[in-house]
Amino acid sequence: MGKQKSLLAWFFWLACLVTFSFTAHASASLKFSDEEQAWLEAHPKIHIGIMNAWPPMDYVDNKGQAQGIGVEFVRALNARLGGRLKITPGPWKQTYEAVKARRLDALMDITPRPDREAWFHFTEPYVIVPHVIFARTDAAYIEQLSDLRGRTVGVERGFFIVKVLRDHYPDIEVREYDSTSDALDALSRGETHAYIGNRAVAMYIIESELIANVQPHGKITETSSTNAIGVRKDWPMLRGILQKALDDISTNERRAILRSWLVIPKTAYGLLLSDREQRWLESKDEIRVAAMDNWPPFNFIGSDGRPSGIGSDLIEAINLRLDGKLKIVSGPWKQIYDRVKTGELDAIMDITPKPAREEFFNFTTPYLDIPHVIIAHKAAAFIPDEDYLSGKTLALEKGFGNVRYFRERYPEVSIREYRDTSHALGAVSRGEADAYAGNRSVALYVIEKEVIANLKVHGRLNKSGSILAIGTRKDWPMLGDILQKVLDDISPAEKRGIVIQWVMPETEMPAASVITLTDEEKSWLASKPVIRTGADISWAPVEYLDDEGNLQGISSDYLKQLETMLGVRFEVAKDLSWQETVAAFERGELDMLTSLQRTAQRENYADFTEVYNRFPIAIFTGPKIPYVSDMEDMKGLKVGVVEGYATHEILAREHPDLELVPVARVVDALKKVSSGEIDAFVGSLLVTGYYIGQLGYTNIKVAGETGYAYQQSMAVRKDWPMLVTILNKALAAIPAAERVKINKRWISVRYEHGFDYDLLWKLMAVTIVVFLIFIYWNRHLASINQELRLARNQEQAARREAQQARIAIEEANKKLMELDQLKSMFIASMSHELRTPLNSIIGFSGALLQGLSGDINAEQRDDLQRVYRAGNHLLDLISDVIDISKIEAGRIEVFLQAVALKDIVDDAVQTIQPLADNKQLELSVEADSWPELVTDRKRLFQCLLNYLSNAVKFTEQGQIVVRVSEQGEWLDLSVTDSGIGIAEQDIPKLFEAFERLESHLRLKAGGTGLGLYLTKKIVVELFHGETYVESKLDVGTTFGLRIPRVIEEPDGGSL
Amino acid sequence: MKRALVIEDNNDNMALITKLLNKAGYETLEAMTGLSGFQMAQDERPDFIILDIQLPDIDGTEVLARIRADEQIQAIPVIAMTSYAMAGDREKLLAAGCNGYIEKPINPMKVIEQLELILEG
Repeated sequence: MGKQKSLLAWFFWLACLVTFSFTAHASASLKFSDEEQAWLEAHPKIHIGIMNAWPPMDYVDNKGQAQGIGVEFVRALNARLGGRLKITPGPWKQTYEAVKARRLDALMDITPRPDREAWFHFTEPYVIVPHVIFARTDAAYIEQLSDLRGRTVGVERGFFIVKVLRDHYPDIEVREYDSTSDALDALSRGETHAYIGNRAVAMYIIESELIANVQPHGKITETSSTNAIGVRKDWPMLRGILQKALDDISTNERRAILRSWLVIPKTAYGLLLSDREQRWLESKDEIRVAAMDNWPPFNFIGSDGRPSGIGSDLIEAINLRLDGKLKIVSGPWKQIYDRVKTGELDAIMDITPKPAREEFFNFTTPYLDIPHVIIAHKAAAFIPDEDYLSGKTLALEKGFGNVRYFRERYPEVSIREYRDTSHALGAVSRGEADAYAGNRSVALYVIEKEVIANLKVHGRLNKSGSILAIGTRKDWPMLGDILQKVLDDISPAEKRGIVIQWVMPETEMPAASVITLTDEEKSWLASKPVIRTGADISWAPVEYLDDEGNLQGISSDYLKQLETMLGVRFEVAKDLSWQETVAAFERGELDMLTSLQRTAQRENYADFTEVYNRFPIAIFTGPKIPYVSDMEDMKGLKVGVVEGYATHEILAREHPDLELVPVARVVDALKKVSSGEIDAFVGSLLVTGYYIGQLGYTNIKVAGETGYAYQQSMAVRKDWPMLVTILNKALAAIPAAERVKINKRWISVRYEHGFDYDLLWKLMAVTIVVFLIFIYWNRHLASINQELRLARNQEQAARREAQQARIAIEEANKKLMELDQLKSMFIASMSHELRTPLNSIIGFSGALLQGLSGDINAEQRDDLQRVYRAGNHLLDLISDVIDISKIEAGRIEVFLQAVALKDIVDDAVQTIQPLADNKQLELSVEADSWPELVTDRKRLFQCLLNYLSNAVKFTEQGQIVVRVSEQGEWLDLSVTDSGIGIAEQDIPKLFEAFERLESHLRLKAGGTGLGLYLTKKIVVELFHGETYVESKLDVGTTFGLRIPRVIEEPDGGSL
Repeated sequence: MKRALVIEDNNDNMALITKLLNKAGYETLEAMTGLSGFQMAQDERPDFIILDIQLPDIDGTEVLARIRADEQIQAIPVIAMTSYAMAGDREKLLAAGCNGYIEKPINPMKVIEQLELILEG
C-alpha cells in the first residue's frame, strides 16, 4: 500500500517536474450550453474565496497581492470565463463560512468530503499533494504516524489532520498553530517533535524562511491535500461551468502552474533524480550490482548464505532511495570484474578507480578510503613503514595491487602470496612470513574473528590505501550519475552508521611533526596550558560549529595538529558571533583567533602569524545582475559584506564608491541576495560556495573575481609575541602532505543538494570546483618545491622527504586527471544543456518573427530580431568553444571519408554567396585541378567557411578569390580578399583566441573572435597541416591552409 | 491535411516543432518516449514521423529500427532530428533507414522547407 502510494506520488512529481512555459488560453473545444451561456451573462461577477496564508497553495504576498497555485488556476479559469471570477482572500474559517452563508460564491483550496456536501458542490480536484511528517534533521527517521506516539505534534488550527489525530491517535499530543509557518517555527525551536502537513507548502516555507534544521520524513496516508473548488449549494450551474473550464485547462498548462510554485523536496525518495534519470531508471527492471564473495568486512557471503558487509549495507541504503532496484550478485573478484566489463552485470562494488579501468567503467566518487597497514607479531620490533621491511618476508593476497607495488618499488622485500587475507595473516601468525601488509579494516576484522592473538598493527604504508568506489558499465553513463547522486545523498552520519558496525573506529592520531623550541619557548608554553581561542562559528568549511557544538573545518584541523605538537589546549569560545568574537579579542578576553586577515586597522590590536591559507574572494550576484568583470562594474549596486570581515574594511577603504550593506553572517547575505534585497555579495569563494550549495540557492551565481584573496593568519594578542613565534614555527613544521590532506578533506566536501535542478548552478558548481582545484594545485606545487629543497639538505631526512614528495606528485597527477575529467564533464554539459534552452530562444523568437503567433509591429520586430540574432550569436560561440575544448582535450572525433574537394568548395561558396552579393563583392574560384581527398568533410568546410566569412566581413569593395592548388601529397587552399588588410605587428595575434583587431570595421563585423583560433586548431591538430596568412594594409589579405590530401587515421591506417 | 507524428522528449522542442508544423498546415501527433512513439506510429499511421534521437527509454535509432521492421508502417518517411550531430551521425542515421536529417537547434525560418525537401526527395 505504502509503496503504491509513494509510486503515485512519484508520478505526480514527475509530472510536476517537466519544464514548461505556457500561456493560458481557451481551446476551441470549450463550449458552454445555451443555458450556461445565459447563466454566465446573468452573473458578470462571481466571488471566489482563497486562503490568505497557505503558500504556495494560496496566500497574500507582502504587497497585498493574492498569489499561489489556486490563484493561478483562477487566472486560467478567468481566461475562459471572461474575467468573471473575483478573488477574495481570507483565513480559511472565514471564507469557508462565507460560502456556507452564500456571501461568497465559491472557494478554492477545499478538500471534497461527504460532510461538506450539505453546503458545497465540488469540482474534481485540481491539485493533489501528499501530507508528510516533518521533523528536525537530528531526529531519528519517523516513518508513520504511529512512530509519533507519546510525542508532541504541531499542525495548523482547524485543519482536518487535527481531527484524524484526535480520533485515531489519542496518545499524540496535538498543538495547533495559526499558520504553517508558525507550526514549522515551533518545530524548529524544539517546541514540538514533528509537524504534519502538505509537503509542497512546508517545503516552500522551509526554503523561503531558511529553516535549516527541519526536513521531510515519512509520508502519511491518512490525509492529503486534495484541492478542489467548492461552489455554493444553490448554484449547481456554476459547478458545471467551472468543471468544464477546468477540464479545458490542458495538462501542459497545469504543469506550468504547478512547476512555478512547487519546491522540489530534496531528500525525499526518488526526487533526487532528474526527470531523465527517473525515466531511465523506470525503464530498467533491476540493476545487477556485483560484489565480492569473500572480502570481509566489505563484501562477503555471510553465514546465512546471503551477501553481507559494508557494501551490501550500502546497497541497502541506496535501495531505500531507488525503490529496491539494485540486486547484489556475489562472486570472486576476477569473475565479477569481467562480467561487468562485458556488460553482463551492471555495476561493481569495492573497485578502486584507475585510469586503466576507465575504458570499461565509470566510477562514482569513493565511498570508503581505508589505509593500508603493516601487521606483524606483537613481540616483533616496530615496523613503521615499507622501508623497514627490507630483507623480510611479506605475506600478501594473490593478485592484489600490493603484490605489484612491493615487487616494483621494494625488490628487497621477499613476497609470498596467499589465496586470501585470512591465509596471509595465518602465515604471519605461525612465523611463515614476517609481516602482512594490506587493508586495515579487513585485517583487523579477520584477526578479531579468527582470534589471532599474537598479531598487532604496526605502521602504515606510505602508499594510498583501499579507495573503494562503485564502478558502472561504460555504456550506461546514466547509472553512474544516478548512483553518484544517491551516494551524495547518504549523509556522513548514515554512512558512519553503516561502517561502524563492521569496522573498528580509527583511534590513532596522525603522527605529529617534530618542531624545535627554545627552552624559553618551552617554559612559556608550560605556563600557558590553555589558550583562549576565538573562531568564526559560521564560516564553513573553514571553521564552523557542528551539530554537537564542536569546532570543525580547516582551522580546527590545524588547531588539532598544533595541540599535539605544542602540548597545549586551545579552548574555543563557541557562543559568540564573529563580531562578538573580535570584540572579545580586542578587550583581551581571548588570547588568539584562528583566522584573521592582517589589515592596517587590525594591527593596532593584534599580531599575526604567517599566512597559512589563501582563499580567493569572489563576487556573487542574484538573478537580476549579469556577469560583472571586476569591482568597477559594481558601482551603484548594493553590495553585501559580512560586518567586520576583512573584505568589509578593504572594500570600504579601496572602493568608497560602492554602497556596502553590512550583514552578520554569510548566510544572511545570501538570503538577501537571493531575495533581491541586495544586488551582490563579496566573500570567500570557498565559504560562500559551500553555503550556496548547502542551502540550495539556485538563483545565486559567481559573477566575477575581485582579485583579492582572503589571507588566513592566526591573530595573537599584542602582549604575547612569544606565541606568534611558536605558532609560526609549528605551522611551518606541518608537512605539506598534511596541509594538503586537511584542505582536501574540507574542500572536497560535496554539496548535498540543490543544483541537480538548475543547469546554471550546475555549471557554476563545476566551475567553482575547477577553479578551486586550480588554486589548490598552484599552492600545492609550491609546497612540493619547498619540500624538495629541504630534502636535499638533510641526509637522513632526504629519503623520507623524497618519498613524501613522490606521494604528493602522485596525488597531484591524480588531481590533474580529475581536473581533466571535470573539464570534459563541463564540456559535455555545455553541449547538451546550453543548446536546449537556445533551441527555444532561437526557435520561438523565429516563430514570432515569422508572424506565426500573430502580427507584430515594427518595433516588436526590431526587438525580436535582436533576440534572434543574439541567440544565434551565442549558439556560434558555444559551438566554437565546444569544438576548441574537444580538440584540446583530445576528444574530438575525426570522421574521415573520401570526398571531392570541389563539393566542399562549392558548398562553402554557395553558403557565403548571399553575403558577398549584399556587399556587391565578386566571389570566384581558381583551381588548377580538383583533387580527391580523404578528410573530415565537415571540419574542412568549417575552416574554409570561416576564411570566407572573414573575407566578406573585412572587405568593402572588390573581390574574393578561393584558390586551390595541389602540391604533391599536399593540398593548398586559400582565400584572398581586397579588404582592409592587417598591419604587420598584428599578424602574430591573428590566430589567438578572442583577438579582434582594432579597425573601423570591428564593431560592424561581429563574429565570435574564435574563428581563426579554431581553424588553426583544426588544421594543425586534426589535419596535421598548417595555416598561413599574407597581408598588406589597405591592399588585401590571403588566409590559407596546407593539409595532407589523405589524412591518416590516428591508428596509422588510412580509410 | 497531412499528419505528422513528433517523437521528442523535450517539451519546449515539442512545442516549437508542432507549432511550426501546425502553422504550415500539418496536423500533429505527439509522443514523448520512444515506446509510446512507436505505439502511436502503429495505431495512427501518420504521413511522416519526426524523430528525436536522444529519448528517455529506447533511443531514436531503436525506434527507427522497429518502424522499419514493421511491415504495416515501414514505408512511413522518418526524419531524424538531433542536437548538433558529430560528423558521421548523419551517415549512420541514413544507413539505419531514415529519410532525412535535421540538425538541432533547428532553424525556425527554414525547417519546414528542409522538411518538405526531404519529403519530396
